[in-house]
Amino acid sequence: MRRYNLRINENDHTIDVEELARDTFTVHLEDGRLVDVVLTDHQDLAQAVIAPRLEIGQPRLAPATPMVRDLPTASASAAPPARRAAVGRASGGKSVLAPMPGVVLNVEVSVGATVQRGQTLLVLEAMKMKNELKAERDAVVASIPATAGDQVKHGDVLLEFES
Amino acid sequence: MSPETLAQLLQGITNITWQSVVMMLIGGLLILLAVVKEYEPLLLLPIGAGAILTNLPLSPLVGEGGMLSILYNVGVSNELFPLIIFIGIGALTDFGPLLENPKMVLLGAAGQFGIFLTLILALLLGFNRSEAASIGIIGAIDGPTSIYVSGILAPHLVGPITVAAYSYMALVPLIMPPVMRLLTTKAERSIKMPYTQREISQRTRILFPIIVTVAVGIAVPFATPLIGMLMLGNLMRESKVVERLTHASANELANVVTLFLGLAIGSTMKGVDFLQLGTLAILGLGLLAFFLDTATGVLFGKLMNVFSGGKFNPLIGAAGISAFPMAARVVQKEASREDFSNFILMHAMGANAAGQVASVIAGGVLLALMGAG
Repeated sequence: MRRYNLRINENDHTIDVEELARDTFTVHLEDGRLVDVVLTDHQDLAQAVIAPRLEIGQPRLAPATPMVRDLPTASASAAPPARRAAVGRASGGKSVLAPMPGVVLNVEVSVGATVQRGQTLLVLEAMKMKNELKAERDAVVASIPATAGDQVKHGDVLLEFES
Repeated sequence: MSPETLAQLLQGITNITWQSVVMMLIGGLLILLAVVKEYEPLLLLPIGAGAILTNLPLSPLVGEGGMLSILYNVGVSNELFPLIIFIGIGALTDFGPLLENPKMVLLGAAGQFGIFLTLILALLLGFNRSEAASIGIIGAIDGPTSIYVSGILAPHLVGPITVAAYSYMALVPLIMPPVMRLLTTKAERSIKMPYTQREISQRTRILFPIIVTVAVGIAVPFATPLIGMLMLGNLMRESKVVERLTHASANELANVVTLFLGLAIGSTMKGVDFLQLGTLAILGLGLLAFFLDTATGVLFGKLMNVFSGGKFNPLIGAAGISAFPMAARVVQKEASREDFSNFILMHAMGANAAGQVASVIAGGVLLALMGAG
């Protein structure tokens, strides 16, 4: 997951871009919406002015305020600059993502709970098989977007830890 | 009372033979496995019941006009029942994971080598060609295919072959893991594979069964009945316009036919024919076929791992053996046993669906090799 802070016409916006595959991204918008984006092509057009001078690779929540200047208002939506937004899928990370499409059968923990590595967080039924999704590290549960009975797609955020 | 009247009244008792008693015990064992262990109960229970009903002294259920014999003649000797069941299997099978990952077809093919290895072994043990081929087909690890092929090539062996195929299929979760662990290293079992969910269009899903049927039918005409019915079921499922037919094929029709098929198979288990050394050999070879299939699948998975530069988890090869969808689940269990965050179920399902198709084709190839009609 990579976070972009954008200022468009004096308004600050934050979007989180999550790489599902090299060319497939889920973009989390501020209002909570998730947008699936497939990058079919990217190229520099004549007089490309996108040369952001920012420190990339800072820890997640560090307020690295990128400045994208002189950008026309509308086109600032989800467009990851390149295909390098790679963050190993949730491995030991902040969110637990659905490893495959399926139905959430059970949520075994609640918000605020302290979990240990290996503890079952949710049960996801995929292809009629029950799969236990377990915590990959000790952590505290921050939020659980998934509820039992939800039909989820590959890469959907099911649960988030406090960082 | 004259001695003749007495003999007539007691003919039930006087006609008991030791073979029939043993067969009734075997029937009881099958029912026990079905009830207590839930090993493929839908088939083993009717088969067990059929075996007991057949081996009761002078059973009117078998022979001219007997219900079980009628069922056998109507549906097993002419291959009708396994084909009807195949419509239901097609209606239940989701080929999506295979379409997302078409290279899994290779594993489906690799999972069938056990058939031919077992066939060779059966020939060496002295079975004739048709019998050996029928025993080998146990390695297709697919009940209806086994019944279909052995019914054509060696009808007298349908009983033991069916019992072997279904019992071992129930034991897949016990048979496969030791082979898988023996042939792979911990590092190989822990290989994670990226999964990308690709949307498969409905057009692709509808065209797939049609194209496969035509292609397979032209390449292996003997496989046409099996693949045709399997894909008919799948076409109905994916078309989404005949849900009533799809539902009926996968439920009512398949259930009724399963009952009839089980009883008819049970009726072939007559003491004198069944209690032979050959039956034990078939049970042994069938088990071997399962081991060999798993082994060749995993070994082929290892080969794919080499070619992919270490990015392919060889466990998935074991899912190429058919036994849909159980084999894929076993693969997933083994992978998560090594690393609980490893999910290769969707890849395994792809290989498993390929194995389902491949075992049908293998059955057709076998029939073609034997020149059966």
